[in-house]
Amino acid sequence: MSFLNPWAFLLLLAVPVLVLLYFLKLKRPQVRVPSTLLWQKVLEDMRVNSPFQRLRRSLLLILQLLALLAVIFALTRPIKLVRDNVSESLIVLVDNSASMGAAERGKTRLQDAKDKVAALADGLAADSEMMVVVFNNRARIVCPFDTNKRRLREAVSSIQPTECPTDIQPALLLSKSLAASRGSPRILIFSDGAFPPPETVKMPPGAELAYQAVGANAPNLAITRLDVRRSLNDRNRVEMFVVLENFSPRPFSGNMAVFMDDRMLDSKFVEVKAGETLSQIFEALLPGGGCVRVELDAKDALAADNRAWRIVPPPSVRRVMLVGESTYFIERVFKATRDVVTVCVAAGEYDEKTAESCAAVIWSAVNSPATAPCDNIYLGCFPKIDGLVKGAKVDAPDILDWNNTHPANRFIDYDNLLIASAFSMTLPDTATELLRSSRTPLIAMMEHGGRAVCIVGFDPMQSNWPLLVSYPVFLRNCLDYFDQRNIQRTVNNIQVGGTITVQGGGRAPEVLAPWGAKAAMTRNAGGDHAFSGVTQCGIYRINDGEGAERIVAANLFDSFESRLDAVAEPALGGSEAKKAVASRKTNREYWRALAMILGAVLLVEWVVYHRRLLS
Amino acid sequence: MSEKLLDKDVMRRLERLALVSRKITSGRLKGERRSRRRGSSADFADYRNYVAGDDLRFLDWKIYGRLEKLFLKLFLEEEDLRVHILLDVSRSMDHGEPQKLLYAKRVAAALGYICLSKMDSLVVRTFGDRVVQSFGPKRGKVNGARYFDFLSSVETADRTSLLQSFKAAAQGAGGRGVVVVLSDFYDFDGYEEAFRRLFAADFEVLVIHVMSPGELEPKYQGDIKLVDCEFGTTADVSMGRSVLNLYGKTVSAFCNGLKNYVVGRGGCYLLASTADPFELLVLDVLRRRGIVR
Repeated sequence: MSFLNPWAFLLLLAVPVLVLLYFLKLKRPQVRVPSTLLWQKVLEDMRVNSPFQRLRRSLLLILQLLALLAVIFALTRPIKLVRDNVSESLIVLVDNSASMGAAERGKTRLQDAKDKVAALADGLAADSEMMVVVFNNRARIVCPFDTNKRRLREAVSSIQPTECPTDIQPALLLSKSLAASRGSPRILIFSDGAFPPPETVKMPPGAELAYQAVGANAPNLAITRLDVRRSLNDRNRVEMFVVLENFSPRPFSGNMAVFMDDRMLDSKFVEVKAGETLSQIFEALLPGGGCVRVELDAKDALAADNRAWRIVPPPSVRRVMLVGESTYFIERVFKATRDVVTVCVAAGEYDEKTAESCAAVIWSAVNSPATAPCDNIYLGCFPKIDGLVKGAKVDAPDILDWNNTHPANRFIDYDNLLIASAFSMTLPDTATELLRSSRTPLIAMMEHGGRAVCIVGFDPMQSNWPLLVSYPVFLRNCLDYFDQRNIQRTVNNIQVGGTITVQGGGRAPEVLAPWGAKAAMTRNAGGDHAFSGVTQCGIYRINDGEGAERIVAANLFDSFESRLDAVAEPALGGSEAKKAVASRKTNREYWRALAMILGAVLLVEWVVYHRRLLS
Repeated sequence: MSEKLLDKDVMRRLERLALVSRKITSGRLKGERRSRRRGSSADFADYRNYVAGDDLRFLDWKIYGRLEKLFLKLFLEEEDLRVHILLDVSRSMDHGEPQKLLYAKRVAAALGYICLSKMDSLVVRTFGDRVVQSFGPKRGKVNGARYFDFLSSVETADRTSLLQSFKAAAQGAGGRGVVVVLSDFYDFDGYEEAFRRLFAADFEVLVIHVMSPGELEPKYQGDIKLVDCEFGTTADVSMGRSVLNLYGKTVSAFCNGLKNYVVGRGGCYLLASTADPFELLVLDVLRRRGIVR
């Protein structure tokens, strides 16, 4: 310990003066009494009964000396190099994602984190400031840099749990920008580490990143997938595909029930072994659309992943546009099915507006085909897609292999396929080969502009394929695959934490959240209405104010969140995080503490003095 | 002077009283109290065998006529009672409101006048650290005025020494009797050894413990230095409710200790507060306690 103003020690000379004044002040008035015999007995008894009598007699002097010493020491401004609990600028990131809602030992991980942050705020040094940021898949500042402990505590207590997945990237980016405004801030992350590794975020020099793990390993059985599709055989029936995953080291069992618009369709007792996955398929008659809900009755740590919803649109008749001259066999294929209507146009008569109303466009050996605003199948022709390069002609390519796991290749055997000639092609990295010869891919599936694109590298009319069973089956599989893909991609089924968007202007639609709250959607930069408050799993009902209602299902479906293993050292995108709350040494002044001691001593002296007068 | 100690009305009422002695003692002179000795009163006491030299007037001739044996008739003797009054005149008795010494003098005057009226032998000694002044032995009301003058003129002594005073009183008493002690008993050496001397001399002891209201329930406040008027010793006391409560308990323990000691040895104890009129003590309390009748 050292002193900024050691000259104040000269005031210690006042101590003997105080003692002198005290004893001068205590000149007692003399009273003559017949005898002090009994009084001396009284004093002896008091000494026996009260061992601190001598101390009590001079308590006022001791208190006055203490007060004087406190004043002198405060004036010397003592400082000490101490390990500071918090840095001068502290950015606290609190994870409030779904996994933080896991209950452990009577309270959730989020509550535990909030308690720790509140304690941190309480212990904040007087000249330090703290900022609280809450993050899940987004990051939000709850309390800007503040030195007021009460406001910080209130901000921390206002943090609400969500069922969102975690993406720490936005939080790290936000911290980076906030840290740049301060000299050498410390960034503390309170999380269970249930998030995918972020991209590299380079913190400003001097900034210190520390990670405080919250929670322990907790058992959990989760619904990690719910897919619903129309049956291939009967469009009035739906097939529901549920995947359960056991993230605990012991088997889990429970009842799983499937509901359709609050009507129970089926119920099963399921048992999932430790660390394993279980798939379940349910079927139900659903001529119209509706909402499928799956509930899992399992006593695990996290409830958010024990329920799942899916919005199933009603079956529709699909329009398919056939562009080109040689579409006879294709027409024949779709005439056999009742739910597909074909529109045949010549290559020069292609109309994009008509194509918008179609589920798919099949281009048959058309030179320079366009890309329709729907899913496309190109037979013997190649659109302009980045990474797709049409190569030289290949005569009589052999059939080497095909991808029999892809839905487009269901029930298909290419063994009998004979091709006279095909074009070699180079595929983009994201393309999936469905059929390949030893020299070039022959059929591929890819995505372009959000639409599925199937490229057949040869003209079917230059092969025996139209005469084979696999030809109509392939076309039908492609349409079903597109259909299924669109159902999955529809904005009616989103992951919790996402944004519900309603295109178009007009009145702001109103959103009824699963917890009963109503909120108006806000207009975004693109002119659409958006609602970004999807923080809980469940059904969100959007009312446009004109009687039309749209239903959106929000689900977690995130293995990172459902795996409730607390991660001690998570990957933070190359930013090195210290395990424990780091500390640094700073010079701390103690005059405030001494001033408080002085106040307390004066208060005690006042109480003692008045008690002595009144007793 | 006598008017200051006792007024006439009180004296008249005192003349009807007598000090009661629970012991049959031997006096010096003929008196009105039954003696342990055999003597010549009209009350028959006992017989004994005749021995040569006995007074033939007391032979019982009727028994000789029947038994032809000589028996001597014995009669009770009536003698006076020796009453010793020990009056503490130390400086501590010079305190109190009303003053303790004045109160003690009045009680001594009253008791002494009762004794003189009943032809008892009265001896009065004032004491401090030793016996200071003496009066008597005197009998008869004729000595009343001189007795009151003596009391009015007693001098105060510096300190108290019960042992030295009682020892001297016991040695100088020259016989059994009643001892009335009027004191506040403030002696740092204690009172036990001193009283042992009186009880050893077979005195019938009556203790009148004189205390002022200021000693029984003091009203001091604040931080004060108490100075002993006899020895000059001091005690720094921060007066408060707890201290005064403890003092009250100490005074009670002191009085009860003295009482238990005296009563346990056959004596009689009375606590007299100077706040109460002394007539009340003499004419009422002493009568109800059977000390006078």
